[in-house]
Amino acid sequence: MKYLTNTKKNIRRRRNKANAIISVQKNKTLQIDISAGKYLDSGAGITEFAGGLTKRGRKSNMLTVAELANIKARMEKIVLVRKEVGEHEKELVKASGYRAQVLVCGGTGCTSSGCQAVLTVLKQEIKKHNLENDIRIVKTGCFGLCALGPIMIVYPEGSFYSAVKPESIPEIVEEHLVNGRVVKHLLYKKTVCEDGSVKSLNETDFYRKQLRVSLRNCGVIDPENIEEYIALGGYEALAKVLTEMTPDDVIKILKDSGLRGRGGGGFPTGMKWEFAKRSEGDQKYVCCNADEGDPGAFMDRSILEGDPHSVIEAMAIAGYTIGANQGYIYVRAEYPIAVERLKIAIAQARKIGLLGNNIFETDFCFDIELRLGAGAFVCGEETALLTSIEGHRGEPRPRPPFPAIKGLFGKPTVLNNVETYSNIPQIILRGPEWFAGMGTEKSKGTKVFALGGKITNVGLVEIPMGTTLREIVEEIGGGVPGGKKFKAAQTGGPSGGCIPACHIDVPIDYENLTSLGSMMGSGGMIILDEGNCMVDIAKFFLEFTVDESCGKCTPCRIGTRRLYQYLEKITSGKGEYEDLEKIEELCMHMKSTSLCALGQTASNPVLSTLHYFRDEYIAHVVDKKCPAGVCKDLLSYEILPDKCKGCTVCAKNCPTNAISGELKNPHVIDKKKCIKCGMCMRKCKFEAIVKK
Amino acid sequence: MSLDLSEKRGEWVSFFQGEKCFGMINFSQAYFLVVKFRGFVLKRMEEKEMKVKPVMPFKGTKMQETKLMEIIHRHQDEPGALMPVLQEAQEVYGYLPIEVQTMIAEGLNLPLSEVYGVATFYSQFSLNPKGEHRISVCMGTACYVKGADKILEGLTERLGIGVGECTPDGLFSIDSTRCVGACGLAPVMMIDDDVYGRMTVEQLDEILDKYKEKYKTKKK
Repeated sequence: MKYLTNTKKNIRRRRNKANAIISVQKNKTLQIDISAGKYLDSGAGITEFAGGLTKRGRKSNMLTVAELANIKARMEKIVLVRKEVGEHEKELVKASGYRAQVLVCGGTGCTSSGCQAVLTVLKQEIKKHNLENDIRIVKTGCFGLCALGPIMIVYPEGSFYSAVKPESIPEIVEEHLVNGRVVKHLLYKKTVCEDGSVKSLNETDFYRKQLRVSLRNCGVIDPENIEEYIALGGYEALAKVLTEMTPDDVIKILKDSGLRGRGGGGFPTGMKWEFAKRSEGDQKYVCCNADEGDPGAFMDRSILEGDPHSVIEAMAIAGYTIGANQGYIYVRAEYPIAVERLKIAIAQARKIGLLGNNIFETDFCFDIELRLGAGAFVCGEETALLTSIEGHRGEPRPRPPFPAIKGLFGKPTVLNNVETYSNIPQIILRGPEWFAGMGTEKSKGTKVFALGGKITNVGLVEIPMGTTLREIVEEIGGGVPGGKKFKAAQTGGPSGGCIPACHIDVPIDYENLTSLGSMMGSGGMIILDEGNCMVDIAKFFLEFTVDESCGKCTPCRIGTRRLYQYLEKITSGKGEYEDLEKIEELCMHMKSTSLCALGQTASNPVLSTLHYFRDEYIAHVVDKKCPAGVCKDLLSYEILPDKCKGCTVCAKNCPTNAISGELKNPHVIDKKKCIKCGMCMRKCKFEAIVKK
Repeated sequence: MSLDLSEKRGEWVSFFQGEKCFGMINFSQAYFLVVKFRGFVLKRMEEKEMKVKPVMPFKGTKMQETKLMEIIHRHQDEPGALMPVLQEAQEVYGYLPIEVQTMIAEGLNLPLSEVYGVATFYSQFSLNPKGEHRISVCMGTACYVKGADKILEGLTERLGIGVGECTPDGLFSIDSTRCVGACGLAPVMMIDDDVYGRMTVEQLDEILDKYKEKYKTKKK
């Protein structure tokens, strides 16, 4: 019913073109309303907006394309300062109405390291200096360099302050914002050249090789303010699709762009949408997989925290393409900030009519509902995710039928990953050729990786497909810290494998990673160094899959457990050589007979480590040694008599009194009593204790 | 009626009544029986067997019940309402005892077995009450390769409880969680909403003492 009345209104409005002009004029009064509150705080953002709309006095909240352009023109001035710091700097700054803009990262990484305290002090200081009207404070999403949090950038200079402490805020405000002198000693070290000059962030090693498409708005806009998203071309793609294109055009563009699913499988997105469009159904659904369960991966979270509207926009485009009017975002409950920002984003989009009925005065209606995951890794698998949205145990279903034919509630469904969606508005706006121009022959575009583990620059990187692992590790990542040697990169989490140091020059794309026995996965990349035992890493992943196996099919439920038992046997020194063959056979059976991808790929961490690091497995089963010194049962601690000064620190700290010796004489460890806790080694100041 | 659990074999326990053995049941089933039918009494536990956790009597208030009813009412007509209802119910009660599950089953007109099935499937739902301060150690890969297991070990050693358990005084409970996303700070431990990054085992005492101190002053 609602739908019908809205359509009538719609037709009426189209007939009366004068209306549009009136609404633009009305919009001008709205401008004043909104810009009066210069600093839009998280919650305040919406309320002010709501206030502005009621003042406009329109019953329907339908937004026209002209109004969208209006918002863009108004907000662009403010946001562009953060993007183009070039020759137009002065004009841009003047047009923006703010002398300076301070961007503080509000992603999970920086929140954990205390950005909230920084923000509070910053607001106080700004108030103290009466700069509230001259300086705009923006809480953004993730900048990527999570290891250096909390992070703060001041524009127009683009000064990048890292590891900011609340204590140093007064100095920054006083010196930089009041007196205009950059506080060099608090800047990110890599941005300060030897001669004392400051270079732009994009010239540092971490950012230089990156190409930001999915993450284009992360760390640039305020994710809790829809207008800042619109300022950078947000919702323009949706407007273009709804007013100028047919569903088939959209599918063609996606096919031509060569975009493939970023969730791990790499299925061409255009084809997926085409299947869903072709299937018959009175009701269809669009779903977004934001259940990023892969341990050590946080790309999707950062996109949701930094740019939630890009996902919403792309889902609406998907809805129009396949003929769906309802979307679901299934997001992990462990990501409270992402959930909060999604809620705000959906509310704002509804408020100004970018979600709801008759979007952009067309017949297209679309709404999105948020569903929280409850901590089950298997729900990252598409059929399990759909079962979970339906309110059941998240167990996968056999495929076919694929979700595009029979998905959520038995209806045709398109399910894509967050990163896939966030690429789509850009592809529509900039054309498929632009997207296809990046990457390798079969893998187009860029990929976001969450770089973690034993690497200097822990954080989020987006690189064009085809970048080599060496570039990621050595240039962007800044190498392995502590002078240790790079041993392997683990990609794809519990479904992937390890790329050893000998393959460091391989260009990264879907095909290459699969041929190396790993997979793209959702994009977690954990760097391992000499101090990591590969058998132990394989065991870690198996422990995870044992825990997360849903129990529906036998090869996965029992196979993972048996595999884990073998690995436990090996790491505790009871392994035999034959076990390695048995492991390989078991892996093969699991691969070929498991119901879903979880079971089919659960053996990958074992197989790939067994392939590349077989000597390490052999050292465990034959020599009963752990070369990396990780597996406790294969270790023994010894005191080097020539280094030991007899200070008794180790003996005092030993929990089992296993160390004996007289003062100022070398001590000895009683191996029978030793529980290998490693306390003595940590406490020894003379490096006289070694583990073998 | 008495239930006698003995001879733990893996996760299975044999189920006795008097001298007669009825067969083997799964530990969670046994736990379910104990909670559901208060008449069952656990009679004999042999040494080295699993410690049957003391069953905390359900202490739901009228206010909580009204809230729960309101939640159920709000979601009743949605497709796939069970998960959001369980999530919100857990926020109200802190955990999902069988009494709450029963109310949800009745409210949503679902079999209790289905509610129980969903509640035990997802790791977010807990059938046991949590401690005053919930400690969670991130066991994501990034934290693991930087030694999160040692932090967890240090915690279980200091508190004398395992993962998923609660200290007898109800002050702390330990969980190992999946990636919390603060990989830049690995290894990470969370107590309630406070994040402790770049943890070492040595820091644990100081941090735990802080919470114990807080608890003591609160008690006084």
